[in-house]
Amino acid sequence: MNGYAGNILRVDLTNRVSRIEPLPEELADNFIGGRGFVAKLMWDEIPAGADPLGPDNKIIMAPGPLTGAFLPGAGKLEFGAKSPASGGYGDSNVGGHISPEIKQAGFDAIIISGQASTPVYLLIDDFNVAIHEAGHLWGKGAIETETALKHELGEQYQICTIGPAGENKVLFACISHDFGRQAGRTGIATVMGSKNLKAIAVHGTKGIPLADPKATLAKGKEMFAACFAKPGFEEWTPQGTAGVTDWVNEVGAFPTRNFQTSYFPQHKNINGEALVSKIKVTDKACFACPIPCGKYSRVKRPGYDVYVEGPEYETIALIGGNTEIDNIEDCAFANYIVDELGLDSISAGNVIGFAMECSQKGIITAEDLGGRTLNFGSVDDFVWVAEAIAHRRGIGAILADGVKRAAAHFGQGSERFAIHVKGVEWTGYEARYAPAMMLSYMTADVGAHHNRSWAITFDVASGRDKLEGKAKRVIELQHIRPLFDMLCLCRLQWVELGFELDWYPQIFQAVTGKTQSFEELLKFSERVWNLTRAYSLREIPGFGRDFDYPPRRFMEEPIPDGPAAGKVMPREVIDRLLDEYYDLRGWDQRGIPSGAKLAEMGLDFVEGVIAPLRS
Amino acid sequence: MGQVKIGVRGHVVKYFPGEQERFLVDIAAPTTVLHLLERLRVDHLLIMMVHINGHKQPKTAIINPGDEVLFFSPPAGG
Repeated sequence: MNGYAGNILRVDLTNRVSRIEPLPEELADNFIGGRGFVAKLMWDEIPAGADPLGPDNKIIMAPGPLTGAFLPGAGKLEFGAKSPASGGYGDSNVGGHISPEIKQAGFDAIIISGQASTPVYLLIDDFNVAIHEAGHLWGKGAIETETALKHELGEQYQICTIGPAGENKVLFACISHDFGRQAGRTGIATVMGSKNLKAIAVHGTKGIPLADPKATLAKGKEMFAACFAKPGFEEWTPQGTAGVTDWVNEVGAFPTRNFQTSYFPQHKNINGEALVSKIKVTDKACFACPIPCGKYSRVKRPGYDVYVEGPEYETIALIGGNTEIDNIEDCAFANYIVDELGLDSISAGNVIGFAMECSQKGIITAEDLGGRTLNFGSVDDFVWVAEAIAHRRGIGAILADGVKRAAAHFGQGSERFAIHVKGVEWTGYEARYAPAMMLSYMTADVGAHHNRSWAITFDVASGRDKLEGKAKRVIELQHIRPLFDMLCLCRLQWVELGFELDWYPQIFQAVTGKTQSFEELLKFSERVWNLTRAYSLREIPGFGRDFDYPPRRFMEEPIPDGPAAGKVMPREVIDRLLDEYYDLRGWDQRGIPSGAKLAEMGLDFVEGVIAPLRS
Repeated sequence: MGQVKIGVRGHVVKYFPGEQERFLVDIAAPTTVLHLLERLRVDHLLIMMVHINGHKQPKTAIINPGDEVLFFSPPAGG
């Protein structure tokens, strides 16, 4: 199979054995790779009702058919597991360099099952697979562990690790790779921790079969040249995604003070210019990237002289605005702390902002906090809570389960300002004045994440007070963007450079020999979108429309100040958006795909599970 | 009377006339970035950053004939 290594690696941590199987051709033909493999393998292999933190859950790692080929951004890796945060479908992806390494080791997917009795790490050296004791690494920071394994094994290994947060089963722990890249969302690292799996190290030396090597090389060269020829090619890189900070404030969508408002007056202290002028050391790129968005920074504080990749925009939004840390040095320091602890910086900023508001409102008391208070703007308070969460100490043990569960524990109206969807914390765009962006968060299959549909410029262009066309565009984006996660490509060339989508079926053909238009590729993406919905319907009792609503704050509290002052999105507006969205998707008003839609998508195998839910 | 060279970087190109990444615009006299965008019927809030002749400028900056103006889309990553 051209474009594929041709094998799946299975690792059983309980019995400490592994085996290699051929990649089923129909899996590649129908689900392409990456996120598509994750979704199908999760449906087939994780028993219904499995405990996300039990031995039956499986971690699936999958590169895509274009991974490792010569084209811009061909270095993404998809992780998947039943999410301990949502209880349903979970995935997350990471850049860096490990995805091509897995492919070159000979694998299109790695499926990890069981639970090791003691801490271990997985070592993959082409087809030589071993499970090693990791007691000497347990308790170490995520990046500290990567450093230790690089010294132990050699620079040639690409390594994924978890920090103390994953070990202690914090529900928003992240997988770390390449000294500061993370697969941060939905708690896949938590599943690693539950399996006593501290790290995965991979080295591969094999080739990847290509349908037409000459055409692949020629098309790849054309694609790089097209990137270099884009207007302003060199002028975006210096700030990376941090460069968007001012704009998000300008449109009134910047999470501030636990989403109490959407404009942070001190945003220029934490923007891309502040990053470049005060802490940045150099740019840092993933595999085959022509526009490195990573910024490597150095932060000095009493007792610390540390390097951190970032902060990138999402970290600036959630650690900066959302907890009101108003200078780039402190943001970067907090970023360093959560990276080493192995906490997703998005969820960490969201959860800690929530805790600060609970403290502000007297819902969490000084007694709960060992005599202290939590204050917006205090990096010391942020770091104290982050460490308490990662080690499940005191109040941290409650916050470690995320805002949804923490609010259920604290009560007293805190559910109103627990900012999540499906138990996964909201990311860096406040959406009370952005209906398409709001709908994007509400309906993202992994919970409140921006990467399935980033629609805020569409809101601006099409009218932020209008609802017409919003659901249609969200659905389009929910097929385009996740297609990149099936091919395992970075989206930034498309979004940031304006790279034309027509390039992708051309290189797909050169690599795989399969002729598909971009529209046809989108049908595969729609198939996977319906499959992930079916997965959550199967796993979460009562799942459906009720799980697609935003937090009450967004439906009931007008934004108090800033460019979006006075804006709120009442429940009747939310319902109109959902009604249209479900109609266009071919789902009923409870958010359940119809039998006809499942048949159209080639998903007849889920109908037996979904049909009883419709009655 | 003169011309301004326009460049548009990133996904918001689809909101510019003809969805072109590079084009020329005639201007009769110096104008502001905001006025130019209004003339092109592009909401200025779609633009994250403006460079004039290679230097970052606010949207209130003046554009003169012969200038090169580059509009940046907001990135969607992080």
